[in-house]
Amino acid sequence: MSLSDGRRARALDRAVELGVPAGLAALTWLGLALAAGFLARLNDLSVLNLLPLFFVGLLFWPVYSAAPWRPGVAERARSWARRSRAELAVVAVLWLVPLAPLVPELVVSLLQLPYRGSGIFFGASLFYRQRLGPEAGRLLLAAAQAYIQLLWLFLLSKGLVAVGRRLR
Amino acid sequence: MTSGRAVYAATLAVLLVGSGLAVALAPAASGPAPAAAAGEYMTTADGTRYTVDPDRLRQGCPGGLDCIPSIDDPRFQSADEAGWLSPGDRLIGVEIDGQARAYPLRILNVHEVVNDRLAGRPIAVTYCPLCRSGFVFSRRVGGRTLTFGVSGKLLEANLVLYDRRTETYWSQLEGEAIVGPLVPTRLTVLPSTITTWEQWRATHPDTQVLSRDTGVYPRSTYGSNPYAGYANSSGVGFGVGPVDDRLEPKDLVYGVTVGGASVAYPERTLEPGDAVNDRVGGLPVLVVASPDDGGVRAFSREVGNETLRFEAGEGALVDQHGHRWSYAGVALEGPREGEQLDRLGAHGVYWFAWSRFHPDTGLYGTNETGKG
Repeated sequence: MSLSDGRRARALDRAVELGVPAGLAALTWLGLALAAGFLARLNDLSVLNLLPLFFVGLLFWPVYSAAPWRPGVAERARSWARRSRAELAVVAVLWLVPLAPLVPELVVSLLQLPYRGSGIFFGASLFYRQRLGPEAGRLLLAAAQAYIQLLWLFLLSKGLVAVGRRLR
Repeated sequence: MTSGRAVYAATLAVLLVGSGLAVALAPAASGPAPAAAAGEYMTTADGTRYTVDPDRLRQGCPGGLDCIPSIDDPRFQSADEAGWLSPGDRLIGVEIDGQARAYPLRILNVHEVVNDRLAGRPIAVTYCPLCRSGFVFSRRVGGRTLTFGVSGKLLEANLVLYDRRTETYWSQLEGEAIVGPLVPTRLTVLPSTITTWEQWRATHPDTQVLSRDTGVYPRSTYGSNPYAGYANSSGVGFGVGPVDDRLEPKDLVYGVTVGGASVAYPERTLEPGDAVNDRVGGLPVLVVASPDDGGVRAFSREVGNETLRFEAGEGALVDQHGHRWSYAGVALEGPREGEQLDRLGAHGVYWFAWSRFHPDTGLYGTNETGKG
């Protein structure tokens, strides 16, 4: 390994050490902001209104699993990424599939299924739009949709990879 | 080596300062309510005005206000660009000062409200998939322009709108404020038509079409009708009370109301091109299903001091003097050439909803026609 390669590797290590906990913190805040905005838009405490709180709680799942409050989060994240290489590759492919021409509408609808579910955060995005400006609301909704879409595609890819392994 | 725990905590703190405090400290964007018009209403213990008991409203979707996202920055495309629409796709068509726009039900099924501006007029295009009712309202109320959203509440399964300035609830079918500071105020209903893309395009070749680029969901969301199963079933649900059994709950009727009296015209009784001469609340009315664009329209038959009577002619309506009128209610010849019949509201809606909102309604095609 050359000296420059060694420097690059150290820089990458440093980026992971800082980036993983910072990314998890950003996700925590995104989840909290969505939860707060969601609660602020409730116009009654009916079961139907409170049911999505379970869904909101699921947004924190990656943070619970990574447990950034315990030491060694960067190492754990690195080891998880190594174990989930196949799933992450499938996520990247699935993310791009709807952009390709001639993909059946049914497949695109399935891949983009959670976008409808993310509609429950539209009210939250309006809550922030009224307070922080239209761009803030739009960004929050886009971030929520991208995050939910990522979780959905990861679930799908886990299933696809498991099926693929069984078939082999 | 920097501890991951410390970076996590530090980033949380930075984001708290950057976003959380800003939200907490920024004032909410809401102004005082405009003065309400005179009328009768009741007040709750906390002083909230209402004409419909708030306990009658049912939560229809999870998530409270705006649980169904409205379209607030609509984009449009030309008829040629709207190749994704099939000829039989239904839409709400609106024309103001010669400018026509089509709002496909494929999109309205998902969003229910479009806050738009057409020919300089702020309008709200609203659609309730549970009642199959489409109404276009002016958004100008008491000198202010309101923006509407979906409240998440239902009244007899009908969409309850709310305005984001005062958070007043509005009944779509009645077009009036029912709970909140703007009670009692009515919205101005603008003429609109539910018809097919093929018919609308034939009569409005320069129409603009609401784009699927709504800024809320990807285009794939608008491919299927999430209410297809509901429309094909006979059940209603959503807390709707006993339904008048003169028709099936989901028979489509066109309701006309004049001075508190109302008559429902079942869709199956309205043959395209035929003229229905009737009376509602003492007013002579004409109800026609236009063979041009498929829309059902109602007009007053009183013109000046005369009551006209129409029958179907060759591609037009013909009055008792033998003069031809278009299906849009415009005299094509004779001494009244160019005159326009006064248009009345005639909105298609499922029978269960019409009869629940108008329990004393007459029903065309029975002995009760012209009741009231």
